[in-house]
Amino acid sequence: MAPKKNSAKRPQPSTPKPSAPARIVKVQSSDGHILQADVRALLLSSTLAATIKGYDDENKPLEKLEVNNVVGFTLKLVLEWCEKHKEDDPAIAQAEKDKKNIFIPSWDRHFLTKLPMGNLFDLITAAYHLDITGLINYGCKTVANSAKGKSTEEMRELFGIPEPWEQPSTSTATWDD
Amino acid sequence: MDMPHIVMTKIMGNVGFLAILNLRKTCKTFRNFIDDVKPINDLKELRITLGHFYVKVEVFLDKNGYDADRCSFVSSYQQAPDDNSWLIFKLYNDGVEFVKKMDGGEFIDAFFHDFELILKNQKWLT
Repeated sequence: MAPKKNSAKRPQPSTPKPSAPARIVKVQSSDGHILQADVRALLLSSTLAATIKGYDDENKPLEKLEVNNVVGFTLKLVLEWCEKHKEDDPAIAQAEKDKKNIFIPSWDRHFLTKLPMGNLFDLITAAYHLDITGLINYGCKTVANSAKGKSTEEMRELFGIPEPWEQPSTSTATWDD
Repeated sequence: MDMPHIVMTKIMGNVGFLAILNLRKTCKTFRNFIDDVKPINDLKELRITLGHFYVKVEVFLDKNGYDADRCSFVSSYQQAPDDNSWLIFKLYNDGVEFVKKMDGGEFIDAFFHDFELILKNQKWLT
């Protein structure tokens, strides 16, 4: 069978490198939950990578990272995603950063579509604060896909938007334009 | 919806032309955001045919925008037989879908109203 037309353009995941012993650190959420994560997974976040580098440069022991703008439940999801992608080539996320047609791998599609829309928004916002390019890309694409082909009413339901007459200071007379 | 501006722009850039028009009608927040940011969409081409009692608009979208099989559709704005109303239809290869009937006004005004919205939310090609 002939290969798909666009498969050549898509960056392929790199083969796993011989892994060094995992370096585990504690990560504390804004609501005090403490989780554990492999440093390689945390390096997917540019924000956390800078913090970790700061500790390493000063030779200070890294015991606990505090993430003050993400709650425990969302942080657990972020860490689960990062753990899955810790072996990925960083060039994949960079290559897809500004691409319009983003391909979502099957694991990510399943991981993101099973989340309720509210949790997915929290996850994308957390990914934005932590600067995790791949998670932002896949999350935004998942939200966009779920909105495609839906009517205005269905979109209101999907995003939890009140009906026009329930929204403050809006006039339904001009709502249809 | 408390989403960062960059994230919202990224989502809007992926939803496609038709979904953006529908999202615009859900609430003021989305409407203002879309009118302000003018997200990149997948509208490629419009062909407009003006007849005596109708305007036919052929809309061509990027192939990933709407769905894999249908990347274009035709809308028709027509004067209704009773002359006091106008009708909008969507025409497909295999049939016609009635969209809307409105009393009063002219079909040409309805078309220009929609056309203005479409043009207003475009960006220059770079």
